[in-house]
Amino acid sequence: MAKNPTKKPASPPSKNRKPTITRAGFGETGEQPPKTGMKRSHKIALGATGIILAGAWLGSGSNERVAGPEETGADAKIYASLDECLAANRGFMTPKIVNGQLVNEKSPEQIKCEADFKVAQANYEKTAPKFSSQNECEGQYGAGQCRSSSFNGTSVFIPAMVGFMVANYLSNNRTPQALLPARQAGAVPCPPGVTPVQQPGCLMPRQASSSSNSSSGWRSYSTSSGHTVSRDTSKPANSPTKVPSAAAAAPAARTSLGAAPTRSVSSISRSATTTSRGGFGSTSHSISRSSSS
Amino acid sequence: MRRIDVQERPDWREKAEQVGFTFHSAEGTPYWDESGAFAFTLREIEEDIEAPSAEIEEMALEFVGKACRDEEILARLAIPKAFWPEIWESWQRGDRNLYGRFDFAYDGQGPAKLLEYNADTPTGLLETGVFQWLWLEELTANGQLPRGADQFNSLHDKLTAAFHSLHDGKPYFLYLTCVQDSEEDRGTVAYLEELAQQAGMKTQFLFVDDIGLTSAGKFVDLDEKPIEVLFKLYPWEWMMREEFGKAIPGCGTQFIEPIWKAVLSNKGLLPYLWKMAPNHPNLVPAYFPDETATDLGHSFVEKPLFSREGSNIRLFERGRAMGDTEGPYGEEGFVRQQKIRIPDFGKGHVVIGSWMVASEPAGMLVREDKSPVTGNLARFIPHFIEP
Repeated sequence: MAKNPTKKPASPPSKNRKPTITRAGFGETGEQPPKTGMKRSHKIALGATGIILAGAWLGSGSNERVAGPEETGADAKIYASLDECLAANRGFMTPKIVNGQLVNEKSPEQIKCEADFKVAQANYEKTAPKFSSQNECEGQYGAGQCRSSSFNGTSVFIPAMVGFMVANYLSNNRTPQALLPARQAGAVPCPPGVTPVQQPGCLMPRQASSSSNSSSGWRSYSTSSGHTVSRDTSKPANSPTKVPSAAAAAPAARTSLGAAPTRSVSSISRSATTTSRGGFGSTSHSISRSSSS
Repeated sequence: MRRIDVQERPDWREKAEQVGFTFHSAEGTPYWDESGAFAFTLREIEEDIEAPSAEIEEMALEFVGKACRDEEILARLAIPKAFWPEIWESWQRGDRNLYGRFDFAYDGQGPAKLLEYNADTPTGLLETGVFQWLWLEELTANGQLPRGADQFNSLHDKLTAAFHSLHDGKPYFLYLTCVQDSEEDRGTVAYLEELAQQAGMKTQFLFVDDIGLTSAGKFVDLDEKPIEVLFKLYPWEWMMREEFGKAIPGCGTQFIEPIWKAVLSNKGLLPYLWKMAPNHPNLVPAYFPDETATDLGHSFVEKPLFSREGSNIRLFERGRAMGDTEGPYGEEGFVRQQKIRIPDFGKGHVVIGSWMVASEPAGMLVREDKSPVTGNLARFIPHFIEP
C-alpha cells in the first residue's frame, strides 16, 4: 500500500497558533491509561457493570478455553455454606479410632469442600462489587444484604457472601467463587414456565411468601461478575445445576468502587432577572430527527 | 480485514439494556448486529486507521487556526457573521474539545478514505466503548473468538481520562443537554454524565428546550442557576440560527464541544483539506460547486454543508444527477466529493468510524448499510483485532 502515515500536512502551520492549543484537547495533562500493547480500554467501570478488567473473563492466565460456543450452560454445584457442602458430601466415611476415640475421617469430597470454600472466601472481598455507601449496595442486592469492608484503606460496602459455587471440574479448571445475594437490578427474569435449567442465568420470581406452595424451590444468587445462578433447593445440595458459562469463569478482581457517586441536588437561588426558555431546540422540532450523527 | 459470521448471544438485548444501551434496535430491526464481525490485523488498525486519523486531526486543527481568522473561509462555511469573533476567541482561549468521529471508506486493500468528519455531535459512544468491549470479552471467554483477540477501542479509558483532565481539581459543575425525543441521544449523554461523575464532577442534565436565558444574557438551568459548563449533543449550526443563538457571544458559558468545532463539523472542511494536502492518500477530491475541479471526475456526490445521518446526499454520474436521499438540509450550500467505492463484504456497504478523544485516536466502530449512503438505519457490526 503506497502511503506514508507520518506525512505532515502540506501547508505551513499558521503563525498565530499558540503552542498551548496545538492539541486543544481535554487529555493533554490528564491521567493517561497505561501504555501497553493492548488497543482497547483496560477496564470498564460503570454503575451497571461494576468494574470489569480487560481479559478478566478468561481467568488468571490459564491456557484453556473457558467454555465452547456449543454450550448453553455449564454444570456447577452451589452451596449455601461450608456446612451444607460437608453434609451433602459425607460419602463413605471411614470410622477410625484415634487416641481411643471413634472419629469419622473426612471423605475426599469433604476435603474438597473445605479447599473450595477456602478459595472462594479468599477471593470474595477482592472480587465483590464495592460501593461507597450502604444504600447504594442495598439498592442492588436488597436490604440487609450488605456489610462494610475496607478496600485500599477506604471503607466500602460489599454484598454479603451467602454461598459459594464450584463449577464442574471436568469442563475446565474453574476457580471456586463466592456467591452474593441475587442482584435484582439488571437480572433477567425467567419467562413463565421456564426454570434456570432451560435458561441458565435467569432469575426465578420471588415467591410471595415462604408458606406458599413450593412448586418453585429455586434459590438464586449472583456472582461477583453480575451473573445470576440458581439452584433447585428441593434437590440434594451436591446435585449439579446449570449456570451461564460465563458465570463459571473466574471473576475479575475489582480495583475500584463499583458504583457512580450519587447525583447532587441543585439549590434554588432566586434572582432579580427574568428568564425566558425554549430559545434552543426549535430546529430539532422542525426536523424531527436525532440531532446527532 | 475480513467479515466473519458469529453466533449471536441469545441474551444480548438484555445485556445491552443492562448497560444503558436501550437503543439497540431501530424501527424494529437491530441496530446492533452481532451475527457477524469484522476482523482486522494490528497493522491495518495502526497504519491504516489510527495513524491517518491522528494525521488528519492535525490537519483539521491546522485548518481551524487558519479559518477562524479568515472571513472568506468562514463565509464559505456558511457560519453566520455574528459568531466569527466568538469562534476566533474560543480558539485563542484554547477552549478544549472532547470528541469527534472520522468516517472512512476502507476495505483493507488500500488507504482509508475520509468521507466526512463528525466533529460536533457524533453518537455511538456507548455501543463502541462499552457494549462492543463487553462483546469482545465475552466472546473470547466463550471461545468464539481466539484468545488474545483485541479491539481498537480505548474509548472508555480515554473519555474517562478526558473528564479527569477537565475536572482537574476545579469545582466544575457540568451541565449536559440534548433533545427530548431521541433515546439514542439521551443514552449517549447519560453515559458521558456517568463518566463525568466518576471524574468527580457534579452534573445536571436538562433538555435543550429547558435551557433558560436571563435578561442579563446568561444561560441558566431550571432553577435559574447559571450554566457555566455545558456539554451539548446539539449541533452548533442549529444553535447559531435559533432564537437564543444571538446570546451565545459573551454569555460566559463554556461549551463542549467548543464553538470552534463549528469550523470542522461542516462539509466545507473537505474541500479545504484537499487544498491543504492535494493527493493525500487518505483524502478524497472535494470542491465547492463554483470551483474549477479538474480532478473531481464526472461521478461525484453532492453533500450539504450541514447534513446528518445521510440526508440530502445527491449522486451525479457523468455530471448528471442520478437521485438523492431525502431530507431537510441543504439550503446553506453544498460541497462536491468524488464518488468513491464504498466497500461491500457481501452484507452491505461498510463505513469505519474512527473516534478521536481530546484529538487523539481512541477506537473504532464499523457500520454496515444496505445503501451506499450510511444513514440512520445502518447496523453496528462489532470488530476485533486478530491475535
